[in-house]
Amino acid sequence: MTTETLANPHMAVYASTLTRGLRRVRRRVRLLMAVRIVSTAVGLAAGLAVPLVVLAKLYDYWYPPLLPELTAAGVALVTLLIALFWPLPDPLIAENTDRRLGLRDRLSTAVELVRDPDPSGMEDAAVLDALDHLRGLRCSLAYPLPLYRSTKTAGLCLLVLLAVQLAPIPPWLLSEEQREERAMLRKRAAEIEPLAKELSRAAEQSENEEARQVARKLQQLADKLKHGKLDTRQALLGLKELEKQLGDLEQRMAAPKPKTAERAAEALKAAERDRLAARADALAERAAKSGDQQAKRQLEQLSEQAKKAANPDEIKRLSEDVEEQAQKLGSASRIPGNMPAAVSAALEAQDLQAALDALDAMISPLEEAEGKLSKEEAEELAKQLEALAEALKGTELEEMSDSLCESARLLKMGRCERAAECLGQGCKACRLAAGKAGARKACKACKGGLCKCRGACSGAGAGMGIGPDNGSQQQIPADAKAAGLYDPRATATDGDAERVRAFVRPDGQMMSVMEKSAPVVISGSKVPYYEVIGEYSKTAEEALEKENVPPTYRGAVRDYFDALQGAGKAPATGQPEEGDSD
Amino acid sequence: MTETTIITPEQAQQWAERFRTLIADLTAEVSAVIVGMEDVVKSTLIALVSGGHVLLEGMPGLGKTLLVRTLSDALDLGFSRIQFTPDLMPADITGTTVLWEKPGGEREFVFQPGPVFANVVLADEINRATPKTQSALLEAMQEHSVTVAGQTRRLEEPFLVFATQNPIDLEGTYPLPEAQLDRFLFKLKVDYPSLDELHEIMNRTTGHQVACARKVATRDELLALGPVVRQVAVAKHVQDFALQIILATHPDNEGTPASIKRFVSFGSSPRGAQALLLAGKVRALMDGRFNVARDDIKASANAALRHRMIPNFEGLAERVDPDTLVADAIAVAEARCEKDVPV
Repeated sequence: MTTETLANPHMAVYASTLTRGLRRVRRRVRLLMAVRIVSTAVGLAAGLAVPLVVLAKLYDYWYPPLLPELTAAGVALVTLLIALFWPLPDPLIAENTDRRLGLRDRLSTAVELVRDPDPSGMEDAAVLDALDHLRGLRCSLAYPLPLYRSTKTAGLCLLVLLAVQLAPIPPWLLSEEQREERAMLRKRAAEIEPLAKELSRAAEQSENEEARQVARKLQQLADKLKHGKLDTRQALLGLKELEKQLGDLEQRMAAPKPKTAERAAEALKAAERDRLAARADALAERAAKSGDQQAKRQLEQLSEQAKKAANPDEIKRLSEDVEEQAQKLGSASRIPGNMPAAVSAALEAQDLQAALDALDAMISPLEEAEGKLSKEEAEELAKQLEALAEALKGTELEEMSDSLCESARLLKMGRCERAAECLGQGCKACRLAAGKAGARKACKACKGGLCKCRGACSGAGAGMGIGPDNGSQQQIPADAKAAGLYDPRATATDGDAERVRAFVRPDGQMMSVMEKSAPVVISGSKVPYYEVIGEYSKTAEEALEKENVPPTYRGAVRDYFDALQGAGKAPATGQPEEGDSD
Repeated sequence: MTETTIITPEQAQQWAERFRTLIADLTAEVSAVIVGMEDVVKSTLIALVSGGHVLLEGMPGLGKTLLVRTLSDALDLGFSRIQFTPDLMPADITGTTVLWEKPGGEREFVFQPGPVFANVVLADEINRATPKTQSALLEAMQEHSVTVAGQTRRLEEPFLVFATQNPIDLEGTYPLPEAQLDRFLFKLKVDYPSLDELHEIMNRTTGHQVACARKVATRDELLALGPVVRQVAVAKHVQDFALQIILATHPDNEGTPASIKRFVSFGSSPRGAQALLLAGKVRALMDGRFNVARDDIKASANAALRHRMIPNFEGLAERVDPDTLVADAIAVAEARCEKDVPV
């Protein structure tokens, strides 16, 4: 018996049905493949990135913050594409599905049989049998979505990577330098936090959304710095960006703020008032003990007036009155000068240069007071200096504070000359700093202290009187009173002609003098030296006569004034020749 | 003249259904007589449908002869039994020409057929005969014909040889030559029955009623199954799997398991592959399928290959179980053939 086969015309239909069914399975296989391959690749990438990130953090190598994550995402994308285009022919899918579902090679045999151009009836039956099984096939049963080991590993590696990136490096892994750097960053964070709060408060009050955002960023930066999540480079980048934003914001939000110099002057006046009142009270008590009721009453009145004194001149006058009474009572103070009042006056006029001059003026008397001051007087003077130091904090003369404190300490030890020397050095340093300080210094202060002056840099360098005051911008008005001196010869051609004065000399000769305004380079100086040289020379001569000037400096002082006199010799009255003044 | 059978898918379904019914009936009838030995009975039926010969190896008294007799009874086939002894001659098997005197006194040589002229031949203790006698079965087993005195005589289909041999008591025996071993489709091991099975055997054989098999199919019905079986589809990858197993039994092949390289001198012949595929086809139909699966191949591998792997001296000395070697060959073939998707 032989068997003849009959070609089945429906085989093409079977083939397309089989292909459709297998396409459904293929999609599922691709999904699983993608999950597995992508998770393997991402796990590998993240696993490799972890030690690199740790090394970068340990050795302070900079890298873009999201580089590891972006790399992992790129790897995931590439492997996803690979999985999507990985060749999965029908026989392979059918074979694996047979094996997984125990279909006894039905599908794989059918895939082969449908390609037979002349199938037998038994082969037809085999294909139909396979199609029956394929119809009821559930892909999720054949290819369940398991939590692959590679997926778990990838998840773990990503978590570790994030933890390594976000968590600070434990201190025991850091070098000494890195620990110091971290401490410095924490310090910066502590400085930034109040600023952020203040800005936030201001933003809330002004309902300024932009300021609120900047404040938030500032707070975030402070938090990151505090927790060591940023290295120095990242911190500087963040600071630079915020500094720019703050500058822009400041320009938009610029609002007048109380001036530091005025506040310093107020503080100084208050301290001087207290000191003067206390001194007057002490003298009144002494007068009462000696039975001088009139002096007592006068001193009590002076004390009351001192408590109410409003301006430095009044305080100065009251101080002189009190000292006069003290002299009468035989307890005259040997504390040289009236420095607090002078400094207070200068600060009130926002002329820090004049304030420095007033401090300078204290140096010589202080040197000469070596061994002359009693312990109480030295302490009294030290208190004055300390009060002054306290008042100068936060101003551009803040550097002077330290010198004043040191001088006060030396005075308490009875070392007046050392105190004077310290004061002199402080003044000198402060002048240098003031001269060099400009926009650059202000900006540096911004970066160093993270915008401590908050925008002062934008207006810095316009002249003296600009200084940090909790972020407020300050500027001495152009019409402020000048107290400095300048050499007319050096600036003879500078400035604009203001007036011409003519006078007749004793010998009958006619003289004319053209006066010019102060040169621009010396801002605010308005007084030509010839108007004060006489007074100053006289003071110098008196000082030389009283031996207030140390012997070693007497020659220099005399030479200095001789030179000045010589320069202005033609006008015997101390006025310069034509063209020598302005 | 050939008979042409046109099989449509629906007819194929009907054929398969008839096949399953017949096998189920046969199994039921044999099981009514034979206790246990399900695997042996199934494999015997497979060989019966495939037209292959079976070598049964087991201890005496386990029911080997009864199994063969029961099968022939159930199928109403001619049965003969040859007890192989050392003095058995080839003519005792094939038959011989004898001088026959006719009633008229005329004499002539007449062929007297031997016991091989039956549908089912039971060659009991085949290894006790000399190789010369054993060889007398070679032609019959392969060609289904016998040549005596220069005349070839066809044997009636189906022709099936069921040989038995005893694994112990090897003294005075002659191992079967490889050529003859290769002609057996299966070599089946008949194991000792379990306690429950022994109970059942006692109940059936020592009672007042002795079970016997009924006839469930005719010879023609059995013969009709052959072409149906051969139409069962075998995919290329399944066939490749069978061939990989065969190749893996050869010690000289690359990738052959170390155990086979060590203990085997010759691997299976292509008849082994034929046996695997034919048996696989029958198993598929018995399972209600129209295609051969790799599981079908694996299920028949031990029976089809254990007698085709010729052990070397070391294998004989170590008494290596051929089934373990077959298992190694299957493992190698699976590794070569199975392609996994990376999920």
